Amino acid sequence: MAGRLAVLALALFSLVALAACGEELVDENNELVIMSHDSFNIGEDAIAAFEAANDATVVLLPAGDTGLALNRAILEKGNPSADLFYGVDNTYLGRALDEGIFQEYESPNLEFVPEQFRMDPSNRVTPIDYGYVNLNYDKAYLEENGLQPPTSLEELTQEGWRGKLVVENPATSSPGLAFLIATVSYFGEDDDYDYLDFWADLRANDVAITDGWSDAYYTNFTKYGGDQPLVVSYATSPAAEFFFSETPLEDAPTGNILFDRSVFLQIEGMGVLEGADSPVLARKFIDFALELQFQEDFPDKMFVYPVNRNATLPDFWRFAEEPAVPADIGPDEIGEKREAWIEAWTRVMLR
Amino acid sequence: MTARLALLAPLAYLAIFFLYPLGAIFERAFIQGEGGFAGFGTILGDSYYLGRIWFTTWQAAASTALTLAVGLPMAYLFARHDFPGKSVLKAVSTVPFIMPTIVVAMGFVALLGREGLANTVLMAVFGLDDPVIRLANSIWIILLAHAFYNYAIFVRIVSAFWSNVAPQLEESAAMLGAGRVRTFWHVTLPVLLPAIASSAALTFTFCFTSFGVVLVLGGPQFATLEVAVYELTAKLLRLELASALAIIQMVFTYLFLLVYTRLQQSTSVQINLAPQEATARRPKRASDMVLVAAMIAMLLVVLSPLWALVERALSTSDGYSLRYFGSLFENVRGDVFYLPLPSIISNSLEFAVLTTAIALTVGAAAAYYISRPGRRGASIADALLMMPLGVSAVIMGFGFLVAFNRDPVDLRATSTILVIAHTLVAYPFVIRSVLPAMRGMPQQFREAASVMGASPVRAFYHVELPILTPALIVGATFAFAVSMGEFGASLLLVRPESTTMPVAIYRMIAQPGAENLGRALAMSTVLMLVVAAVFAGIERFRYRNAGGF
Amino acid sequence: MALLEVSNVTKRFGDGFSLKRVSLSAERGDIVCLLGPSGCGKTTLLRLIAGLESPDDGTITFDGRDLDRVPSRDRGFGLMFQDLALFPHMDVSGNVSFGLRMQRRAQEEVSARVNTLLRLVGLEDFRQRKIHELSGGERQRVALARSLAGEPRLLMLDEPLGALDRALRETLQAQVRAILKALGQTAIYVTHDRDEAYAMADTMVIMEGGEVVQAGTPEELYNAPRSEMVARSMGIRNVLRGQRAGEDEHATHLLTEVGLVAGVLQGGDLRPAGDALAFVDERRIEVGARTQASASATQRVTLVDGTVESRRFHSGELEVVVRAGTGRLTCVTKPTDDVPAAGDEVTVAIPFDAVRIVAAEREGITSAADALG
Repeated sequence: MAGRLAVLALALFSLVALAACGEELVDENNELVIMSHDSFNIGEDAIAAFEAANDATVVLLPAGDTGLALNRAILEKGNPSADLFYGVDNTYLGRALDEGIFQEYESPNLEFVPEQFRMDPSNRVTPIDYGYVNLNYDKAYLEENGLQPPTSLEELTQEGWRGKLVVENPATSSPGLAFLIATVSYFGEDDDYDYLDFWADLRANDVAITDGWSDAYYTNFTKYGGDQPLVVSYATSPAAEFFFSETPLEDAPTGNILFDRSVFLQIEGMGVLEGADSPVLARKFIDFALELQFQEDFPDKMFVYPVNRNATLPDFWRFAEEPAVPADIGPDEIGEKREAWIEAWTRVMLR
Repeated sequence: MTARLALLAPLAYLAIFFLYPLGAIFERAFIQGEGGFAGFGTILGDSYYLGRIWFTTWQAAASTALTLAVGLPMAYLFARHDFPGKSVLKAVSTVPFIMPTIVVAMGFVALLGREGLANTVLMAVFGLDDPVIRLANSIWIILLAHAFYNYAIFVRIVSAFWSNVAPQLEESAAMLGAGRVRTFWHVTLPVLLPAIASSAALTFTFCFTSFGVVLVLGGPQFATLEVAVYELTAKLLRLELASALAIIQMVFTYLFLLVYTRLQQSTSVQINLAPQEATARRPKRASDMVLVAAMIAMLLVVLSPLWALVERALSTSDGYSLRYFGSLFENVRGDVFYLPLPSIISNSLEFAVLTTAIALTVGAAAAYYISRPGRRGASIADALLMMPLGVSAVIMGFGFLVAFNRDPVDLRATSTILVIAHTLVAYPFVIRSVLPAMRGMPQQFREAASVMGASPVRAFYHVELPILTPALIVGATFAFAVSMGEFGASLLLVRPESTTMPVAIYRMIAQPGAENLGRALAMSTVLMLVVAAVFAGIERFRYRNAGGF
Repeated sequence: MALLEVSNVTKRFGDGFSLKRVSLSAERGDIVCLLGPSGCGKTTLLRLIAGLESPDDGTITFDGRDLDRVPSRDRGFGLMFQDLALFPHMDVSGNVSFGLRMQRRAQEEVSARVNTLLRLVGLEDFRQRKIHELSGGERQRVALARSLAGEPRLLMLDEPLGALDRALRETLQAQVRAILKALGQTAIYVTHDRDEAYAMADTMVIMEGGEVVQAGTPEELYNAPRSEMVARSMGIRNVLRGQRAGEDEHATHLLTEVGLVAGVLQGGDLRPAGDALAFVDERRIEVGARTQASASATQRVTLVDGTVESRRFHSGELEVVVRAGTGRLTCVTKPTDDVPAAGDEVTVAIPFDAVRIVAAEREGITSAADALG
């Protein structure tokens, strides 16, 4: 009875709904679809320049955080939604390469990229940018409380820093995982005092743990009203704080802690997906992404460093210091042990 | 026969857009994967995961109880009392439901954090050196946040039902010598039970599958099943474990819902209907005024994290200003992803309107079937139709990608997929909102219309629809809210030009800097205003000639 | 052929029967009352006639036409529901005009007819009232007006006055019958209240356990109930069960639980020693002080000795219950001083022509009849 009306209405509504937003994505010819994690950002001028030069349309497809986006690409292996994937980093590289989702492509522009950033010898993934995951501190808080920034990771387990550090869960957060790897590099895995001993001590010292960077930074960090003056973030965060401050500043309100081997170098790259509809355009885009226009465009949008050694950085970038000696662990080892480290960490910290 | 047809549409929707994608992802996990079904053994033999099941269940039960305790008095306030500003307050009361968790977390910090308002006041009043309230990363903040998010479910569903219950019922009990408490316990409560049970089932399911609240506010030591599934899927790519865990979560949800739907069938009562304006009155006696004032005050306290957010969005170094709001209109740095505020608002509204339309149709048709007396398997179908609320969002999202990835139904990069995903979460709210009203409506209304010569369609249009309107409005409100606030699936599936407000907020606070935070809070404020405005609009909508119905 | 003919209609619900081979008929302009205890199938029968349910077996014809395939909305009937089913979202005139609007009558006609009907039920000033603002009696009248609005070929009323208090009910009974008669309306009126049925009916149909027990005019049923149940339904208080003991030219004699009683056999045959029922008119029994005198045949009176069990006022009369043998006799009399009190030894005089005797049709229905009270 009334149900019949409902059925009819449903059919109509569904048709309207489908018609209203049923745009088709795939255009075999001159459309380039780039899937990325959702932190990807770039200037519209840069994209427009590429589109004009290649008579192409670029479609950007952010697909969740780093892990989610890559896993989506893996699930879609052979029948991808996109031609190009941006955002695979050296913590996930092993998985991406094992799954074989990328085609090999050696860009001529790789000559401008220092050897240390080359992620994959067979060039299935081309490095585009890099950054450092390290501890940030709230300058005002430390000053008010008469504290000096720590000079070693061990110091964080002492009474003076009780309850003053917030870290992210490596099982759910990229910077959390990066920092965990840095501690593996710093303390080693089977020394007298290894990384798990350090984490156990941190736990005993009331370290705060969040599941994501945003909640660590905006709800736990004292800079934004939280309880902890030390946060695991990026070496570029102080520069971003300076850049995004609402009033002109003399100095960045937060600072970097960069002592040797406590900092994780995170390299992000791009690759042409197997089964891409527009592989030629995809390769051209990789070339373009290594050129100066692109490389100089993203630092103040994504707050990562360009891999092209000739790129000039904006002035405020002086607050984005680089460490002398980052942690030293290769993508192969990470790929092999990542899950074991996360599991061990979870056991020590959460169970 | 027609009632069976009414079930066909929702079941078809469920089969195509829910069971098929789930089947596709499970096939990938169990059949194509190497481990087969060993994941179940791994999980059921692991005390960690068993602990997750237990924690998930009890925190959902505790959250539901707390939500009920907060929501019921508010439902009473809105159902039985009339006071200035009621419609605005009612619209605002549902706003928490749509707020992104991270923003709400900031609201809680602003209020209950170490330097938050509550602690500052308490420390000043009692001359203390240390903060009194230390809720950060405790179970209490999870329960509080769940109550904050979900009390609106009780307020809306129960008060809509309540306000059409003729007050003579309670008055006659009072005449028989029952005190207020006993009247409530023996008369009011049993009558309201279907609506209360509906709200509790929704709240429980929501809390059982809670993700954002637990992740952001609770912190890592409080993983629910949903969080565990997310970790296994998004980070570790252990699909066989994630899928096994997701299925376990579904089975639990289904069992809970089955118990509930069975119970609900036996508690439904036909009620003496009266229009809303006949049941709400202005407080006249002093004791009534105190009661109403106290409840309004309680509501304002419940909403306080929102005020804190608005306050922060307006504070700049120059004092209060609209600077952050202004910055939402200009692409200062030429970002390719930038969309002006009006476009983002219209994207959100467009998704929400489509979602609401489909969810109302699917949900009302399903409720129509389930509500007919003596339907065999109605409670099973009912529980089944609720299942989209019980399934892990990330598994569902991946299921969509695996299921609809070939022409002619390659939905992956379309906005359709988002509307479908939103609808799956939205229509169960319509069912739960409408069902008590449908069950409470005397069957004689339709029969009377029929005897007087009305065709089924006209009987529905002239008699049943107007009477169901308050319940449909509640359902529409939630469908709309679900879509406006959703960002998990949106983040995974939305195209940049279709960016919605929660996605935009999420993107803004993915970067450090006071300006990013300020803009995110400004956008959150806009989200609140838009949603409150739409709710107020819906509230004013009245079926023509239908008076209080 | 009558206007409405229900023939051998059977309806099953779940495991049991709701209606078993029910037949009845209604002539044009008749008010037919269905009387029976709750659950006897009255409402189901109405719903079948209205087309809200369909029979498993049997036929329903109206004006010579089989209604089997005619949907409820096309039957042109009116139904006033037990709980009225007034639409709470419409005002009085919205409710009354609903059927007319469904028939797509012209606006002016609708308006005029609503006025007429509201005047008929005495609610002409209530057009704009909301349903929840009306009293119980007003609602009842709105529902009546609504069910009459479409000029139904047949009006059905399902316990329409059930929820009202006694005084209001009696007033409305008279009004409803007056209205229906004024309109020449054919109607089926369902009730479980005997007095209401007497007040309303041209024809009465007694139902029990899904079956029609007996049908006829109120007089027929009162004078010749064919079973204890019907007798009790009709308000006959003295129902004696017995066996035929013999007869003479004046009377048939039954051996009952109060002793030997003589009365007039109503039609039919009663075989020797056959089971029979005797209905004794309580107003024609006389109760007096115990006498030794035996009644002569010419007095045509049966005398029964007994003890007064109770005595009470009821509607301005005295009701005296006398225990005699293993049974009881109820006698109603004017309240005078010489009426015996409880415990008195009395002799009851029962005139032959105050006793109607019928052959007993069935056994084992006493409890249901008692429940009817």
